[in-house]
Amino acid sequence: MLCQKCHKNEATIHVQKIEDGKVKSLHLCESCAAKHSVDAADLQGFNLAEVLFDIAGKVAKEINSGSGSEEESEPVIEEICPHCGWSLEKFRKTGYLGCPECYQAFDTQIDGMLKNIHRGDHHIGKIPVSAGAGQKHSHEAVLLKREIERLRKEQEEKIRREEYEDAAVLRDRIQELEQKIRQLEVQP
Amino acid sequence: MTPSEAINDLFKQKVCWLSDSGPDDDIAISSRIRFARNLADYEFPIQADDAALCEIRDQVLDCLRHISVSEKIPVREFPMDELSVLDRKFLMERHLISREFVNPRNGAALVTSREQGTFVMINEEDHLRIQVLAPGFQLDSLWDRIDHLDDRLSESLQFAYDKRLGYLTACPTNLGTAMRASVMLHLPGLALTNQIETCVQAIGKLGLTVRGLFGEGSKNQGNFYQISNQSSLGESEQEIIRRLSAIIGQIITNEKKARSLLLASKRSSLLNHVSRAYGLLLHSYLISGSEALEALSALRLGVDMGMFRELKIHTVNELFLLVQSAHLQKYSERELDQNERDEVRASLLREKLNS
Repeated sequence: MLCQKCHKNEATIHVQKIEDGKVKSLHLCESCAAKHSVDAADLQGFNLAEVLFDIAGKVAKEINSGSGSEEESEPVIEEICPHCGWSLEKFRKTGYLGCPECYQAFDTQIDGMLKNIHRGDHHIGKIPVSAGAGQKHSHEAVLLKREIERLRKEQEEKIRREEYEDAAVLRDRIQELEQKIRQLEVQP
Repeated sequence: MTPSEAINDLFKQKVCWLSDSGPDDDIAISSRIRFARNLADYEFPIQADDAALCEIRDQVLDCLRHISVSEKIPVREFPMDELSVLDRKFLMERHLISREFVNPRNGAALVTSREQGTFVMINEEDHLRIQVLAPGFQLDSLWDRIDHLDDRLSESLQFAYDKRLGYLTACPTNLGTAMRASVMLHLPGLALTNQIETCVQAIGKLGLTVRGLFGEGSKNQGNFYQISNQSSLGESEQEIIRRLSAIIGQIITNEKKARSLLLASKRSSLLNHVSRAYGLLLHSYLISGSEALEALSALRLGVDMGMFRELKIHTVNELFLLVQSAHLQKYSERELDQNERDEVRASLLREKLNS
């Protein structure tokens, strides 16, 4: 497949992004991808900065149109992370945040993006040991409850499709997790 | 041992994930998992100042040294600023550091186990990039290894973590588990039967990322495809691995089918393809990197199909690494221009394949 930008080199970078609920594909060679700020060494599977910029841009537009100034480009007050001084503008340009606190400072913009990038907007998975045993246990229980919720939905779907064997497997798994939660709650 | 002596030691050391056997290693070259982690009290590397970056490096190094002693795993440390550009390119070809690390920021360092199956990049995009690599298709065993190392690290390092968002990373695309799992596949069968594009497109639709990658240029050469998860938030690590593994398993089955189909219905064109490549490798006096990769890819297919009884697949795997630019220069113990590299590459291939 040839690169869609230069039509000369073999396309080696295959980019997909979701825009307005539609999947857009882009096939680029390495040099064109570099120009489009796709990092070939650690490609996320879509044009990172562009996607982030697009979404953040849309949010900005919505804010602007809300205040009724769609055509006039009024100076927007720059949003800055109070902890590290990183700006929303820098985030748009680079796709990177400045510090862990930036996630709070720019939460509206980031929340809007998460569902486009990821399969969900809640973490299900590892918890650092340093969180402390007590906190770790209660947090682990929260995660298990989330997982049970998800499995229940899947179970209902299986029952609806009359796939009873699969549903039984899920039922056993749910019981296992519920048992785990009880154990966690007993532990100090 | 100076960093440059340590690099030379690494050069002589065989690479476990290329030279050892692993499940499905006729098609799956290697499996890899990486975790991104950041220290809670510091700015991300892109924003942190030099003093902070050095503090971060020293804390992580301390912690890794401690783990290395208690787990009895000998490690090598490489502060990036003490290495030449050639040495850094060498580490990149070994997949121990990223492209970004060839031009590193202050405080950048690599710590790797001597067999190069476990390593940590310090101050890359995130404070820590913890990685494990193994031959063949074996994400489950890798998961156990990286999970354990991560737990050990988080006993003494305070990672940036949020109850809802999980591990906080410099880029929101890595948020949550901050895990990327990937498998490098060699798919000449699907390529020769013209199924590869459909396959790549299908993988993309399933929410996975396909990269063509093997060292220099990172181009889609030699029919190598690295498949990895795209999303890191909303699913547990095990779930991500399960979903990825299921799809990799299907690709491997399809590649096997394609290879048998070629053998059954296009035998002479397959033999021609492999033997011509072998001839090229055996009789060239100048050969470019991409030409060598394509020919080695065909040879690897031939070895797997039993056409070369005396040649082992791991020998071919190692050649993929040795013919790359920084490796050739390490091999010759001097810097080489492009023409010299083509010459050394050809002579190395003749030597290795004749012995």
